[in-house]
Amino acid sequence: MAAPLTPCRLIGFVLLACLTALPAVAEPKLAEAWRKVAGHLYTEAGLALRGADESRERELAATVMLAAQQPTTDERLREAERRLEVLAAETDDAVTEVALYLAGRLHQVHFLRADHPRAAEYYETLAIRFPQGHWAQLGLVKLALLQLYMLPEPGGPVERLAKTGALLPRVTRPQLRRDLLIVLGRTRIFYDQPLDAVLTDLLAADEIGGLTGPAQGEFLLQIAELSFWAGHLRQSRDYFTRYLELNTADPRAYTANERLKQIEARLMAGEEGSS
Amino acid sequence: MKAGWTRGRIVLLLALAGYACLAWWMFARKTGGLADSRTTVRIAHWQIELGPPDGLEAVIKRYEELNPHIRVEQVKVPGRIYAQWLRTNLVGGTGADIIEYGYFLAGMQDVPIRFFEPITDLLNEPNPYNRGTPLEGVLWRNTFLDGLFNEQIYSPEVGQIYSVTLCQVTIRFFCNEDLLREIVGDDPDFRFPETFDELRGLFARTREFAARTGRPVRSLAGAKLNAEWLLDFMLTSSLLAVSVEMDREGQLTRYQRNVQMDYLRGRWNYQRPELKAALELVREIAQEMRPGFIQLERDDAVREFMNGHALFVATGTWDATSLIRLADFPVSIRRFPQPDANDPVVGDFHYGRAADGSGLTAMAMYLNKNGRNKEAAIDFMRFMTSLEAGQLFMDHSGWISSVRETVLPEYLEPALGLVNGYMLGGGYMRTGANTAHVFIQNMYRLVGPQGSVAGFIAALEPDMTAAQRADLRTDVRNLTNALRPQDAEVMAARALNRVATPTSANDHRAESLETSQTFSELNIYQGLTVLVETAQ
Repeated sequence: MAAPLTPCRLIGFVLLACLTALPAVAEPKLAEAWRKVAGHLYTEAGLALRGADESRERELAATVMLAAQQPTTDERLREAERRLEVLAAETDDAVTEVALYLAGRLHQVHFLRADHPRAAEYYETLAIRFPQGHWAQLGLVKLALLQLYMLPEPGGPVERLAKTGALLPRVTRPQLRRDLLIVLGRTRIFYDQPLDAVLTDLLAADEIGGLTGPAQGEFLLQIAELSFWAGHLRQSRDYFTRYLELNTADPRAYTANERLKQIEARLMAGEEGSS
Repeated sequence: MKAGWTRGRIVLLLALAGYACLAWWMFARKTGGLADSRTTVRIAHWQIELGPPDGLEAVIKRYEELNPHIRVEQVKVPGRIYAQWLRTNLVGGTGADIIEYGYFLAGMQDVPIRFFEPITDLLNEPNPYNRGTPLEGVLWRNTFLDGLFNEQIYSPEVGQIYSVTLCQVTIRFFCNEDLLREIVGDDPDFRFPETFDELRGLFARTREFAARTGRPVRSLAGAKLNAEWLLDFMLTSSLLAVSVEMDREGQLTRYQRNVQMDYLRGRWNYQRPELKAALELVREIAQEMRPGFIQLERDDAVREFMNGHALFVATGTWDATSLIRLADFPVSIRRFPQPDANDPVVGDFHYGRAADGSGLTAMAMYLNKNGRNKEAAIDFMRFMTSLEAGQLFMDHSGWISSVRETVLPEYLEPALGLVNGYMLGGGYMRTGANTAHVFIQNMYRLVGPQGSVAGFIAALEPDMTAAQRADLRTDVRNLTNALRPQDAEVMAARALNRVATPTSANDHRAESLETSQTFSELNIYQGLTVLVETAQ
């Protein structure tokens, strides 16, 4: 027969239930805070974070909120950078990687006056400490952008492209490698480099794949049109066809169809074009 | 003593009753009434003119029939306070579930990325409300007349789509049919002009008619905005060859920043022979409007047309219903006759036929990221852009639906924008507020009685470089402002997969944001590089 439920026992059960629930509550609080950050609800995120246990993840979340809080001030961003540096100095874990990346981002896009060399330093450090890490490789893509356009050295377009091309082997994560290849290809256009060099990068990016929606449509169209200008008629036809399979209503479909007619006419006239 | 106690009780009772009333009112207001336990979806917009609210009401009524557990409420906000209203409600967490927004709303560029949710993935699936229709199985984004082209071009996040559209707007000639008959008389050979050169002939006959009868009749009703729409189209369609030449990126369109950068890098200017010829055409068209039209407003042009003093008014199809209903003469809708290769002014530079009107869709509706009833809101977004709802919207608003396969009333058929020609972008009149100001400010030198193309260009060019720089700087600033809040979102999406049960949705969101940021930064740095390269 069960023992009677006395008031003392009842209080004991309640306390026990609360104690066992504590870790389970702390973890969702941190997740809840991040969910609020994802929705840009920083006040609510701050409230959720109050209930979370002290941890490096909690400190990272608090620092991200500090940096994102509106209105942004350089003073607050400097405080965020200081806290990120503390996190990065403590140990080498997932939080460290994010902290170094965010410190680079603060100097790249958040401070009133960007400090691109300082951002580049953070990305370099990050890539050395976590060569295979996601944030480190994303940092390398950002470093590439800075080298291609914003850092003072090297000066000329060809040198910038060569230096950045050297980063490519270090970026092994497919999505990031694809994005870097597209950045390289589009930068070659900006610097008036030969079309075939542009197409080499873009075609390599297409082999990786993974773009969807409008980004994919614009990418396919770009390869199709540049191939058309470069005289690679069959390649151009293939990419215009792929584009049209996915984009039936886009107003550019008219031009794409006109291009296909021109390509067919030129092929019929014996102009084979390469590839 | 006893009286005091009674007064106290009365006061207490009154206070309690007041509290109860307030509590009831709050509850009833929040839920839409005590008897209404339905989920409420609110849709906010500024189209409070005649037409769209009726169209939406018909759509809502049908939706509520299909979904009796959901109530949809229109929140109609006047345009002049819309931006302030929107920001206040979004920041306060009281924003509607579905919200109309336009990239052109000044000072609001940070809003989409902070408060709206991309719906790209949903748009890459068929719309379930199109089952059993010709659009069954078609990707949602491909069910719109323009494939949501503007929503791609002006997306706050490169490669993502944030909104769906409800209507199509096109600029057309509205023609006074009685006046046309009077002007052309019994000419059995008359047919409505198909080329711009044929239109010149009709302009000449109108001038001759006015001189002969002494009636104050002109070919085109004139006002600043109407003229801008018409002239912008004529410039864009006459300069297709220049647009193709400039499109070194192979995008088959021109982003405004590309037009700005090309101008600053010396790749185009108003001295090019193609531009001079196109401006000559613009001057020619403007001569058909009454002098001083630059000082006049849209209403003045409509009044001139309604009074029978103009053969055509060039305006948007949003005016179709009111023009047709209110005029005391038959009004027809006509497409713009375009210059062809034989045109004496711009024929030498002819590239091909331009798409008829813009053909683009508008009245863009966004999903509130923090909306209380997001699933129901998405469901309503799907319904309101389905074939059935598109038809209802058009039938009750008189505005052309954005949805393919909807059946137009006969009178609106010529108003439908058709992609039956090249649409390669423009930007020759404006790439932003500063270039628009310089162009419009100097337009009298082009279209005025003493004006000329040479005089216009001589006055325009010295100010245009600074204006293009200012607009490019604005573009870079807007992109940067949209970019900053994304960092926190990327980190949150990745963090959620560390501190909570990992989901592919978090990975997917983070990946798409990272890619979008990279492409945005590419655009920003190209703009900054050009600004530095071309600094005086």
